[in-house]
Amino acid sequence: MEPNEAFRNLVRDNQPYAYALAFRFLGNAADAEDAVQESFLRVWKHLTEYDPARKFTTWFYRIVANVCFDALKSKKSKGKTGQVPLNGTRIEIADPDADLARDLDGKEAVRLIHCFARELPPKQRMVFVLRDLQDLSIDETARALRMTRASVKNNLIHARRFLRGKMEEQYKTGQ
Amino acid sequence: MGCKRYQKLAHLNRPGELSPGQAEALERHLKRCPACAAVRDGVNRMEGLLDAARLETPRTADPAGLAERIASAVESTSRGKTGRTIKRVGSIKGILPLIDGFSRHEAARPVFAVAAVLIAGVFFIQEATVLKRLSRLEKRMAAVSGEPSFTVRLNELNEWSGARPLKAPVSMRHQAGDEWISVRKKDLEKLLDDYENARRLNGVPADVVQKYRPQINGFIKTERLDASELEQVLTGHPEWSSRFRSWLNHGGNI
Repeated sequence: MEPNEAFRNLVRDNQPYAYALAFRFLGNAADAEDAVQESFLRVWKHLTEYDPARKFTTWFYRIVANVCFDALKSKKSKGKTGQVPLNGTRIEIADPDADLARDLDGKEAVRLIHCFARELPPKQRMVFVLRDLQDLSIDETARALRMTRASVKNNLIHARRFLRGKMEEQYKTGQ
Repeated sequence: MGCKRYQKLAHLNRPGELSPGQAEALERHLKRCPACAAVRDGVNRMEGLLDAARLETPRTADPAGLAERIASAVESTSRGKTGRTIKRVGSIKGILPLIDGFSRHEAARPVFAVAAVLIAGVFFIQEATVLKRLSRLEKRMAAVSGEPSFTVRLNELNEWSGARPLKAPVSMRHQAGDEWISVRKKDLEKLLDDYENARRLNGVPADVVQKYRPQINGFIKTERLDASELEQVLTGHPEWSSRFRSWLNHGGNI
């Protein structure tokens, strides 16, 4: 049985979001594309479990998040953590004299955030990506990750504190 | 609440992350605590960077190619090329607006029906075979004891699924009460094996097995079956199985 036109439309409409999400979780294009493909496969295979009373996108985000979470865990178990090797080697900043306040819109700072985000533990990373990069609400994030609101907030605090610390440290040493 | 707690709350700076009470308490504290206020400033500066990060949406270089790969992967999986089993039985409510034409599985219903008939047939033949062996055992016991006939109670056998008895409980039809009569262990072991295998495979309670017994006996009597014909019935010979089913459907009984 072949995927029909409706399923192809579903892929077309949701693929950009799924890719953005997967890329932000996994940090590279190849892994993100694999994750998107696996996510749609799971959608196809688990259609019967979809509860029409809920938004399709919420269900779909959870599938993408689960696929990415599995991929992160798998990488970790294989020794490929997806982390940028930052210990001992400082990231090169285009303008070492720039400070955080003056570089708010800088692409360099954004690149650093993505690099440091890959050092977060998987759960914190997923909460951070969904809430701070994909801009989901706390409730949507909790539903997508099957976590409580309190757990989402707790992971968010740890993730933001870690990233803020890393960014401040980076800019202090860069000056 | 101490500074440690306020510094945690200071990281929840986006709308809806703090309750009104928490936000008010935090603001009051920040006004009089420079250390916590500095943390909050850092968090707010990060928020500016995150705004920029949100705007940078990663996009795949080849969206059409990815969509095609997804379609191919779904198609391969559906055909079982990946070796994965696809379970899609039952109604698919709600997803129909998303995936139309999903009623294609209706075509598989006759297959399920045939499978059900085959399973029922296998069950019937197995149970009938066990009953035949039981009947032989009863005759042997009757011969040994000198009583005209014995009935092995399947319900009691059913209760012995754990420990294997060396003696079988039997009841004599023409005597009140039960008593223990010795049975050759190897006969009983073999019988119990067959019986338990049949039960395990079919998940059918012993009382249902017993229910079929008079019908088989009745069919044997009606058709005046000899040993080879009976064997054909029990082994699922098409002609005899068909006649037996027909006989049952027409209200056959003893």
